[in-house]
Amino acid sequence: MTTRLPDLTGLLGQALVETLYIVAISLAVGTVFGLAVGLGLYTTRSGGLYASRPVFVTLNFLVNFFRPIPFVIFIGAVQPLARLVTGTGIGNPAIIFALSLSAGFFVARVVEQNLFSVDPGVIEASRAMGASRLKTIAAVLIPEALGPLVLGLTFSFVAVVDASAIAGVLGGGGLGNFSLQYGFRQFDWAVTWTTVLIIVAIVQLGQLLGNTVSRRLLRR
Amino acid sequence: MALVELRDVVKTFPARAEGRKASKAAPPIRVIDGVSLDVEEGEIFGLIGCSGAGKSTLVRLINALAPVTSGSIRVAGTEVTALREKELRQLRRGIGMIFQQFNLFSSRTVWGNLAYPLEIAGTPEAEQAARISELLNFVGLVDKAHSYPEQLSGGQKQRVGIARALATRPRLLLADEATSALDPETTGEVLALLRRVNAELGTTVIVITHEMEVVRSTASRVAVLDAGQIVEEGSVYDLFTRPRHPVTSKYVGTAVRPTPDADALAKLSARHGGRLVAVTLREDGLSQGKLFGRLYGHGLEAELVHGGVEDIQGRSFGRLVLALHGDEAAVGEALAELSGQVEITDLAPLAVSGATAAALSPPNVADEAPAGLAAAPPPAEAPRQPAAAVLPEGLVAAAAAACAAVPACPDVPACPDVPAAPALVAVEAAA
Repeated sequence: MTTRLPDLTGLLGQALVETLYIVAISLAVGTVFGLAVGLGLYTTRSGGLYASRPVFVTLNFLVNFFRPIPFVIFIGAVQPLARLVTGTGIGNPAIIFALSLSAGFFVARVVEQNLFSVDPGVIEASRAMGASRLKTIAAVLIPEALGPLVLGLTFSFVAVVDASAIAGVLGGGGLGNFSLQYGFRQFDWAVTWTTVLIIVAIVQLGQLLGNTVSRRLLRR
Repeated sequence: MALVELRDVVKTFPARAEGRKASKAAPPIRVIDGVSLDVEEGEIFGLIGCSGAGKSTLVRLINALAPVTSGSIRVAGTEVTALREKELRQLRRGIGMIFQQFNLFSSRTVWGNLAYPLEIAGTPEAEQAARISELLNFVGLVDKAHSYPEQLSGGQKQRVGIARALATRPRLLLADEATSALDPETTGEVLALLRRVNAELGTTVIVITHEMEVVRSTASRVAVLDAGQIVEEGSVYDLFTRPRHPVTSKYVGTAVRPTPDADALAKLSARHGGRLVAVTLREDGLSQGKLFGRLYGHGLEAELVHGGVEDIQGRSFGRLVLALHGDEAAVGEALAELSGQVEITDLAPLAVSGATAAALSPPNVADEAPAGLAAAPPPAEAPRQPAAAVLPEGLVAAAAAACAAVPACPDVPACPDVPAAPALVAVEAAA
């Protein structure tokens, strides 16, 4: 079996950097967006700090509508919006836009689920002490949920790495594109499996980091 | 002016059909149904009721964690129901609250938990440290300052909860089932701490509980809440010694040893002989010494066969069953003379009916079973009221009827323990 792997190390390195870049930005933007929507879902639910049925129903519908769309279709669906926001409908910027949005909806649900793990009693205690709602969210709700939240974000990170592999459909780069172009289409299994192992390593490192931080926060 | 004044307070929740959303057609449920109440500055006020009676809802109306449906709530003269969110926060900083499940912040150390209310109140950091040290000293947890809540025992957690509630020097402390998650020994410690808070800091305390022991060992006044209404209110001593409502009687029965039932009386009668009488001694009535003196005066020998003297809020309350030995006529004279001065009940008819019941059951069971076991079926605590002796036969039926009228209360022994109150209360009131 012949392989061109030795000739491709430069391109492989570039693909790795691109993947890390796409994932890092998308996850960062998606986390901020998802945290906001997740907090919105949690606090506007009935009995919540900002209980409001219309807001909750709207947010819940948006998340339910967008989250199940397969990412490869989602990219195409939001391309006009990507063009509007980033100025281009192709390449890494458009992929980062689509991935941030998709990750946001994903993280929103994860955040909402993890906030449920917080004992409502501590929220009540904070309110009973005369804390404002924002203070309660920032100083009680989020710190109390931080351990599970970090685990949830780790989970989201893996999903973002997964989704980033499809970047090639919009002319984006990264390991997924590299693997398809130089491995799969060239019947070069060594290239394919090298990218597989690199991606597995990235995921494992991310998981390890997330677990460690979360364990420290939970003091277990 | 009372520190806390409730007037005609009503709180309703939308009716919910099983597993469905709020139905607009069904009338809302009145969880608090027209409660008026005064809590005076400096007292410990008990609010007792079974789960579902509305205690926790009522206490959350006082610091406006839940809004009232109608009525007026004044705390230190301020109409709580009229306040806006920002003013409410100010109000809540002056009202401490502790919880059944402690509700400590698990992400913060003990120190951090105590710092939180001070952060909210905008206390400068230097003062915070001094205040936290003071609080830790007060509750005796200086060595736990840097522990996390999960490293503490239940009693320690509640002490942290109390310290946290006191951080901003509130005038009022709301204790919502503060000892219900604790074992009896720890309960005692926490209640002692609450009494200290009241005595040393002058903090007014409202104690919400379903346990009469808690009320008895802390509160000076108490209100009994049942199905959203206050069915009885008064000094703890009065409620213990003269409960008027069946729900109150039921709670008193959980904390004070009840008078034996007919079966047990038959056994007492068989063992001791003589004429059995029940005597209730209150501080304001005939003293125990005088009572025995009078009985001797009639040539009677009195033997204490059951009961004892209880301490309630530092005052004594006795419920005794005596076996009187002597001339039948003398017994009758003594009872007639004493009945005007002390609550004394002739138990003879009951003991006889108990004996009949015992005779009807297989003799080997009645003879060999230990007294406690034989008495196991409903220890209907009937003969406490003077009128009880007059209605021996219908008593069981009356008790059953009364039971049906009293809602079941999970944490209190089930219905048969309830004395046949409505009927008897009526008789007593008429007497």
